[in-house]
Amino acid sequence: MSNNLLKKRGQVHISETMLVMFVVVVIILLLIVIYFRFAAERNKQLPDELSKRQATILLTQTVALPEFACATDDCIDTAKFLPFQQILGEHNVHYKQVFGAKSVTFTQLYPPPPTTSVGVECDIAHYIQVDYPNNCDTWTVYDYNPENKPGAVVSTIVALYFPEIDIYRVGRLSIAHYGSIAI
Amino acid sequence: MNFFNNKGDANLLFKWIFGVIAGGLILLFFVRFSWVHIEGGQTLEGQQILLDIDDRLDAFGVGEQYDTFDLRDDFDLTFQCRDIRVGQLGTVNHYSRTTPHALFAPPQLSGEYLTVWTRQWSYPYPIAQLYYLSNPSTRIFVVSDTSSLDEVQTLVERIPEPFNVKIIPRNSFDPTFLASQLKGAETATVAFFGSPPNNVEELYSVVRTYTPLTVILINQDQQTATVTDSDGRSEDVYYLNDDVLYGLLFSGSGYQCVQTHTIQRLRSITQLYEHKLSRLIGKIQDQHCRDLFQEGTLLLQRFEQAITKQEYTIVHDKLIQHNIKMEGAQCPTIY
Repeated sequence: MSNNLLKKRGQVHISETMLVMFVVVVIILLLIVIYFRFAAERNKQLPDELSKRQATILLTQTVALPEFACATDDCIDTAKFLPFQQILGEHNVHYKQVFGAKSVTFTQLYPPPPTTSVGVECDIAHYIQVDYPNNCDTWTVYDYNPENKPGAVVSTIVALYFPEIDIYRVGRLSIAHYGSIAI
Repeated sequence: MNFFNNKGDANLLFKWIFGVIAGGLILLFFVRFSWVHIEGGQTLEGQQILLDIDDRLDAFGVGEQYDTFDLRDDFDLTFQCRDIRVGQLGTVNHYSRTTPHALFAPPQLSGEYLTVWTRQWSYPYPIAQLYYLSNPSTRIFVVSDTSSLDEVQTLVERIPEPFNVKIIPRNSFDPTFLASQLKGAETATVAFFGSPPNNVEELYSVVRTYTPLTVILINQDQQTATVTDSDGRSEDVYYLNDDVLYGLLFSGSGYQCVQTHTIQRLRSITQLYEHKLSRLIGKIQDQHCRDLFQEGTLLLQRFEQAITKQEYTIVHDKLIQHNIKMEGAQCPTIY
């Protein structure tokens, strides 16, 4: 009778210890899972944050790039847009390093283009027409979005220079970034 | 310690065994967890510092400026043409990143600080932003003969103060004194403008035993130089103007590769101007302007195909004159 009682008491002690250990282990595991979830979430946002930072830096850089900037004044030479697209193919690797997965667009803001020209891409077909630059208002000079991701846009106001007619207009430089950093 | 109670029950012993095994397992888990975490942190830190440097260079690369980047930790940075590497080659914590920038830097820069100076390279139109990199433990000495001392002094005075570039007149050149100045430097460069003194070899043999030394012999009239690195390898190079000459002073033996990259940029920008002119011709009514445009296009084609320094220099001067001529004729200019 007393032997049985001792055995039972011992079993209760063992069960207690195991229970405490089990609860402690469960709490530790829970904390680790929560920590990893938090770290994974933070790492998931990192490319977006870095991409936004790069796009903002790129805004300032693009305005000063010899490929677009006027050689002597603080403006953007619109006569360089189509030539840039011509050399882009040959120097693809270099420009992918400069821009990464982004889209670089210039748009004319002021004077407001005619309603029929709003959103019209200024390609070679529009350039050779007599009414250029009033027949279009957008120049997409670079577009690389390999994963077809939705992009966030950063933009700034620029002075657009048209050497064909020797006038300046107000424009916007927009950079869409797609959440992955430049290679 | 008595593991049995007075009734012979082994309960306490069992608790101890259980505690030791469970505790050991938990400790092992935490040690491994910390290890994985530290490794991950280092990977992220290594890659992030490269991205951070690249982003800072991007942000910095507008106009002419200089600054000292505080990297907040000691890093071993290796520069090889357009590649920046962090950490020791062959180790787990070694990362590299290729940048589109023209970086003129010694092969190795270690420490917490990185001094950066940027200038826009125009030839004759803006081509690229040039970056000159150094750190507080890099020494550059410029030795000039008396005939070109003023010119060299003006050149050196344009280099910002933190780069600590020192000028020595040729008649004050003392290899023993200079060698003592270069002690403790991570890397050292001694550039001679004009004919070098006879005892250069003496300096070279003393310094190279404790500091990697690059000796550059510059011929300003010819715009050429001979670069001898710390291993004794020599190569003949040329430079197109002062901006590129600064690059030679800062990069030494790594100059040739960065110069090739800048020439490629010159070619691609020239191509762009060539296409610009061919488009603009269609928009110009004035026959005289059209003729000037044709001439300009031919010059740009020659510039793009140039190979030797002489060709670049001749066409460069002609392009400047032609642009002035176009401006005078009230035509749109090349640049």
